Amino acid sequence: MQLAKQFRLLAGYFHKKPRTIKRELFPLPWKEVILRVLADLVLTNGSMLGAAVIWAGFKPALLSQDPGVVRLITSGQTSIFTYVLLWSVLSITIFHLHGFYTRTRGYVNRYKALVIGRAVSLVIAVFIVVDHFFLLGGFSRAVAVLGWFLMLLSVGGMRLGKDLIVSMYRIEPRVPSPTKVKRVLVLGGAGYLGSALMPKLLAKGYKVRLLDSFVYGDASIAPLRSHPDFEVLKGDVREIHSVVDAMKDCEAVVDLAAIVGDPACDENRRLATEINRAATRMLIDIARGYGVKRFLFASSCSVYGASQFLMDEFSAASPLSTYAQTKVDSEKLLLDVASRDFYPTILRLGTLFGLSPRPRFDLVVNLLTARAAATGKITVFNGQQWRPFLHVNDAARAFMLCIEAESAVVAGEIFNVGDYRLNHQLSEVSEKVASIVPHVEVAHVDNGDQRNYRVSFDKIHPAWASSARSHWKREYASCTHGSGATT
Amino acid sequence: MEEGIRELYAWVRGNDIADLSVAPQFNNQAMIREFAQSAAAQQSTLRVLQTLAETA
Repeated sequence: MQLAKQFRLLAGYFHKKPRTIKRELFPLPWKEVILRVLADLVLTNGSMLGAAVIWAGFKPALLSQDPGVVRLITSGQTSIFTYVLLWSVLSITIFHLHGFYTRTRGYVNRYKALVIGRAVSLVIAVFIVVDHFFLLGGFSRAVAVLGWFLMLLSVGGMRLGKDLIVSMYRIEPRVPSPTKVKRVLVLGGAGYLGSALMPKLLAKGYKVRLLDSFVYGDASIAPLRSHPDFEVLKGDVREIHSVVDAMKDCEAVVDLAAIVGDPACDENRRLATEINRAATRMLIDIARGYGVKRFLFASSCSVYGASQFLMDEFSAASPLSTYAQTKVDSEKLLLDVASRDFYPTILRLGTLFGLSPRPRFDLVVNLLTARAAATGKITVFNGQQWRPFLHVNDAARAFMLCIEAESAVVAGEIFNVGDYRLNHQLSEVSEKVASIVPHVEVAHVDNGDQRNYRVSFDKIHPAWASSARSHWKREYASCTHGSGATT
Repeated sequence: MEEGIRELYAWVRGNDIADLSVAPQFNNQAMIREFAQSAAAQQSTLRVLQTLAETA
């Protein structure tokens, strides 16, 4: 399925501009990609050459025969250079289609081994098929099979070994100076997530300043208004003077100001781009001007678009909507200016659910629950797509943790926020709703929605952290149970 | 997730609105549709700067 999708993608390139093709084919820096391609060429050719040498070593008599070992391996019907060219082209093409130069960089453990194994096996299988049908089948099958084994060892072993070394000796080049956070500016904090976050910040003793245009009203912050450490500013993040006033004397910024969700952004794309992307650029400049170091940005796992692979923070973003595209653009703006004096942290949130002081019922879980309760009937579109879900209180706690974490741990980092146990197919969600809300009828409808992604949370999960970060581990472990009740 | 669904269900049952899924105040798309047509949405420093940049 994934390969078929990649072939469709390749076919589509004939209708695209060269710059678009380059961006889609090589989302990583091209110098890095070239180095990796060269390494794979060396490993592939080395494996096949090694296979030939080992095979010849087991048959010493062949070396003394007239035709020579090369002719015996290739049957002399096709030049050895043709074979070298064939397996080189096949390996790089198939490796790329499997995401070796984009997505699999961040895959971990068994899943990474599975992807590598599949790609290498496909290279040899296609090689044998091409040799059999187009090159008279002269190549030794024994050498091909031995080459497959060596390629698995070299191509797979090199990548998995590198991951092992990196995990053993974690390298952290950025060590920003610690800053004690006292006042936090929450942009767009009167919304679904912000109204769940701000009470937690106040409870922890932070001074909280809210800047919000109150498009969704201000009822959600009514209980906080009397709090002595709570300050409210009404304004739009697109207004320079509003942001300048709001950012003064703050040590941290939590940017939740956005038009959230694909349908909402599609209502007015210009407005969405202004609020979600252009305003981010302005916020960065003003924050840096004021010396605000800690900048937390609410992004979305929807940046991963559609993929059957397990996506992690290194996986290439593939936004399918205006909303996801603005998030990708903003992430890039922030990470491009990360330094010792300005360290953004990107939190890619799963699909939120649950109650907050400003409830939403246009989110999958909330919507299905409301429909089930109101009509006794829910409609699931497609149903097979995977989504990572996240309780709104757990999302709020993730922001809290980033504000309180050592700056060296979170500076300039992207974190997928969620838990493996909450990667669900939509049909599973509908079943859960139907099991809780009585007398519910579930209907399935296809609507062509391509968004489909499962997400890895290894980076933020306690397992990745060293013992020195035990506080982070303990806190995070207590908040990812999907109910929000533990918070 | 089950806990989250239960708390939602309890809240929905205790609410006066018959179908929350179609209530505009709980729907971002509906709220943004309304906001996009307002004068506030059309005015901002960023939009002025962008217009100036386009006309320059």
